[in-house]
Amino acid sequence: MSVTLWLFLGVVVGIGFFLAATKMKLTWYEWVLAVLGTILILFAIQNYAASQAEVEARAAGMLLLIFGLPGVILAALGFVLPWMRAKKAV
Amino acid sequence: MPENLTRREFIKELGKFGAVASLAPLALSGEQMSDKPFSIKRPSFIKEVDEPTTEVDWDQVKRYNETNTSRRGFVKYVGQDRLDKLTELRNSNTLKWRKEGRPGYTLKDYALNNGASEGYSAMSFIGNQNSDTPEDLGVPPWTGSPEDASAMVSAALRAFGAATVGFVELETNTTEKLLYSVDPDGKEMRIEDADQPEEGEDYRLIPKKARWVVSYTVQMSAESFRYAPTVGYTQTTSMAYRRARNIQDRLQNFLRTLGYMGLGESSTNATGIAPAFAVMAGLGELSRYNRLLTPEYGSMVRVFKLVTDLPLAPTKPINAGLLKFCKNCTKCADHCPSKALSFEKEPYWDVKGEWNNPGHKAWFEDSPKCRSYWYEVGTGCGICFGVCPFAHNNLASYHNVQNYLAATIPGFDGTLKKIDDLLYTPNTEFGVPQKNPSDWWKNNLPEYGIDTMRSVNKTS
Repeated sequence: MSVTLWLFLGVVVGIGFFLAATKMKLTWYEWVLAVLGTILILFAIQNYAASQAEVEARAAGMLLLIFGLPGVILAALGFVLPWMRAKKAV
Repeated sequence: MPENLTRREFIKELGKFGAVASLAPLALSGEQMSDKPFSIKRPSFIKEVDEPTTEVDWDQVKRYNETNTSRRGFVKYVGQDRLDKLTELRNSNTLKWRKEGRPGYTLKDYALNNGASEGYSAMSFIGNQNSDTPEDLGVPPWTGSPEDASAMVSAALRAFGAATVGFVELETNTTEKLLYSVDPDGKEMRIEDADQPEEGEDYRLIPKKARWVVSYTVQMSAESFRYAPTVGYTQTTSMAYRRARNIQDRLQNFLRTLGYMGLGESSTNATGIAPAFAVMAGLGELSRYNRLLTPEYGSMVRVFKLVTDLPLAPTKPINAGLLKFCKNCTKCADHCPSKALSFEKEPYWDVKGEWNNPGHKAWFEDSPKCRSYWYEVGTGCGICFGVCPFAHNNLASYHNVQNYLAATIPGFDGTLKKIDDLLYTPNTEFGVPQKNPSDWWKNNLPEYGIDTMRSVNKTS
C-alpha cells in the first residue's frame, strides 16, 4: 500500500478523532468501540490492498469483509451512540 | 613528514594520509576478531533452540545412499513394466493436453518452462577453479573469527541470490552422518584425512578438515505454485534449481579467492540431505510433507548445501511452531492427489520404505506413489507445496498475525488452517490448480515472481 494512501488515511482518522474529542462527548466505552472499530477498518484496508498486490482477489474480498464489517459496526456504535444521545438531549 | 613543505608537497602528503585513513577499516576488518554470535535476523517469536523440533536418534542415523531415493531408484520400487506404462501414460496424456491447448500445458507453457530451465553453470564438486586465489593476488588467505566468517559468507550468498543462509559444524557422530555415503551418480563419498579434495572414477573425497556446511535456500514464486500441477507452474521450480547452480558456482569461487575450499553439489540434490542440514542450521523445521518449512517463505524454497574448510560459526535450530502447526494441519495430505502423505497426528520413527532415511521422527511419505503421479500429469506435482498455509507472499498483515499465533498459541492452529482454506483454496478436487493457469500470463509479477525484501523487512 502506498505511503500516500496511508498518509491520507492518517489525516482522515486524525481529523475524525480530533472532532470526536472536541465536538462530541464520548464515554469511555464509546472510545473503546471507536478505537477498536478504526483499527479493524485500517487492518481490513491493508489486507485488502496487500492481497490485491499478491494477486489474491478472493482473499482480498474476504479479508475486507471479515475485518471491515465488524470494524464498521464497532466504529459506527462508537460515534453514533454519542450523536444520538446529543440529539435526544436537544 | 618534512618540516617545511611546498603547497604541492603538502597536498601529496595529505593524499597519502587520506588513503591510509580510508583503507584502515578495510585492513582491520580481515583481522578483527568479533565475539558477537552470528544468527539469522528474525522476529523475536522465532526461538533458537539447542535441539531441532524433529526428534533425532543419532545412533540410528546412517549415512544415506542417495541412489535409494525415489529420484534415482524409482524403477527399483515400481518395476520396469510399471515404469514403461507410466512413461507411456505421461507421453499420451501430455500430447493430448498440448493438442487440446489445456491451460498450463499449452505450447507457451512448455516454452516458459524450457526457457526457465536454461542459463546455468555446470555443477561441480570442487568448483570450476576460475577465480583468483590469495596467492594470485599477492596476499595471504583471509583470516577472521568464525562469527565474522559466517556474517561474511551470509552477506555474499544473499548478494549471489540466496534467500536465507545457515551453518552447520560437522560432528562425526551426528551431523556428519547427513552427508551421503554415495552421491546421485553412484560415486562413493569418502571422508578422510587429506589436504585437498579429490574426485576419482568412482569416488569423491571430502578432507576431514572441511568441517563446516553452508546451508542455504533459494526462493520460489508462491503465485506460480497456485497453478500446480501444470508444466507452466514448474518454471519456478526449474528456475530455483538453475539459480542455485549459479549461486553455488559463485560461492565456490568466492571461497577460492578467500583461500578456502568449497565442495558443492556435483549434480542436483547431491552431497548430503538438504532439508536435514537446513533444519540443523535453523533455516526452518521439518513439515508434514517431509520437506523444509521456513518461517520466512513457508514452503516456497529449495534447499542447497556446500562443504568448506573455512571455520564458520554454526547457527542454531529453531522453533517457530511450524512442526507443531503441521500436527493440526493436514492440508498438504488432504490435497495430495496420490495420497502419498501421512494423516497421522504425530510424526513417527518407522520409515515407509528404503527411500526414507531412518533415525528421526517424521511424517515419512510414500515417495513412489508421489512420483507415479508426476508421470500421470507429465510434470512435477507441487500441490503439497502450493496449498501450504505458509505458502504466501506475506504482504497482507493477516499472515504476520497467523505466523505469530502459529508460533505462540497452539490452540489456534486448526482455526488458522480453516481460515486459509476459506481464503486461498477454492478447489478441493484432486489435481486441479487453485487458479486458472491461463491467468498466470496476465499477472504483473516481480522479477522471478518473488519478493526479495521479505526477510529484510520482517525482522526485529
